[in-house]
Amino acid sequence: MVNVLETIGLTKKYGNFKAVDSLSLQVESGQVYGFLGNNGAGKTTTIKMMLGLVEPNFGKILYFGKEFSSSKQNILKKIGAIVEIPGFYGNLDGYQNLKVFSRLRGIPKSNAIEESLKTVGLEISDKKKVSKYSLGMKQRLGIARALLSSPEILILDEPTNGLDPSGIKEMRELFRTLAREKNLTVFISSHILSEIELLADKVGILHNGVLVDEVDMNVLKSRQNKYIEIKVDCLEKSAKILETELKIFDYEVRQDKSIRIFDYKHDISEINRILVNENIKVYKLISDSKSLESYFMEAIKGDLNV
Amino acid sequence: MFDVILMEFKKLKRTTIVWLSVLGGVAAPLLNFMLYMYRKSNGYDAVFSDMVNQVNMFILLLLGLMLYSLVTAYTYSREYEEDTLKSVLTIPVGRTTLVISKLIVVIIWVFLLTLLSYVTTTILAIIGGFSGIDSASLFAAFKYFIKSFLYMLPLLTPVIFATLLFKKYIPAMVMSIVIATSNLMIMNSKYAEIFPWTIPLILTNPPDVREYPVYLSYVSLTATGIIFLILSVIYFRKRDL
Repeated sequence: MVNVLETIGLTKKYGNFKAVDSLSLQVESGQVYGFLGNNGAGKTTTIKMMLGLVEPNFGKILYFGKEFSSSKQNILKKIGAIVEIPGFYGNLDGYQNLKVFSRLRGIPKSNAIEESLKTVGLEISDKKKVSKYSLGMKQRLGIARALLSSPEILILDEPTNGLDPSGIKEMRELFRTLAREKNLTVFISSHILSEIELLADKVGILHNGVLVDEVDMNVLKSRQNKYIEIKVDCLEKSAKILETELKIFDYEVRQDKSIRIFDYKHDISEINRILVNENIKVYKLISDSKSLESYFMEAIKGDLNV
Repeated sequence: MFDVILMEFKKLKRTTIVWLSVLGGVAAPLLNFMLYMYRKSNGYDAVFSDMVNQVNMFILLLLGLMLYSLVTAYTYSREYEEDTLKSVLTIPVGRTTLVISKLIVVIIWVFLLTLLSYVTTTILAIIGGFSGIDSASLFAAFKYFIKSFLYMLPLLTPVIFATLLFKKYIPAMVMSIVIATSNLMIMNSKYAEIFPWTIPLILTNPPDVREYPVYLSYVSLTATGIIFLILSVIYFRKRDL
């Protein structure tokens, strides 16, 4: 699979503060990549570097295998983007704003503006000045602007900010449709976990400027449904027994001295019986489920051990 | 670059600044017209060429300086104030192209305001029955206004730099008010010949005796324009958003 976007050791420092620290990630063609992180984690700085608005101190950004810094203008033509809250010329209406950006972008297609406004559910005939728009309408207009030139990759920084629940759902469906039907690659940052959970194919978790984890949503979902957690007195021996006696290989030994078993074919009492028969003290044995939220929380606490 | 310039004009649609600048453009002729009409009512002769000189002095030292600073600062600061710069640069429009295109728009705008001031001065002088109006004096006045316009151009670039530096138009406006006040103090000293902001008036109204060679005035004015333009481009290209 071709990497549409790749960063290698991307670093941005402001004085002694590292806003982004050695960030390396890959986004494949047609993939929806969810970029998760708390406020101030470095998501917007990363996106600004990806768009040439902020100069990295170290590291490289590659689009379609080409270095961004050496061919910035050509690469940007293939990108549609929203950075923070999209800004517009308040004295013009939505259509006129898009007309300005479409002309600057050199878009020859005459109905591109109408199409993108329709896609995001804004009225073409609305003559209201953008200064009178609600935040949600500005977000929709921002997405319409990002779609204007039929980009190959969309880079969206918190694009659902200010949208109401039905608007969020609509936009989520739109991004999924664009990725599936038009093979558009979407890189989307958010701090709303439920949003990313429903949208992304792959998730990167950024914390204090560091990419603490990257996980394929399919892998996460397969583990997400249920797992068995056991707490025992001897981790090494227990792990060996799981593999030899029960043929369980999909498990993780965690820093809190517990074992999580994702291979959920086994009866919980059977696991208990075999461990006890092998003279292992079992302090805890539960079945639980793991959501993206718990995964995220663990990742930023630094106790993830996958 | 043509599209960028064209879109800069489109962005001005329905903005108050356009009407404000028109008001500013007619302010100097109107104020002087009122002054000359008052004098005329007291028995003094109102001569067209005198009014032209007076209007130009107002424009070069005070009103024009502030008005052109406002137009320049607005053109550059609005991308920051409306938060559109990030979108424009990722369109992508090159940073140097953007600075130069906006400068061209400002130059055209200032030129139109100069023409407006000239036309207003002429019409008011005709209405007021000023003496000395003929085709030769009208042409001389036109040349005078155009010269003033050209000498003012290098002084736009320090405003651009101040606006890009502070990302707002207010610091640039404060700067232009301070400079306009300084102009009034410096104008009657020998330093008026080398202080960039008084040079346009010195060059359009040469003093009888010069303290410094005339080339120094040209060097000072041109160097100010070029240095601040280069600084603006370098700074804008390097600056993170």
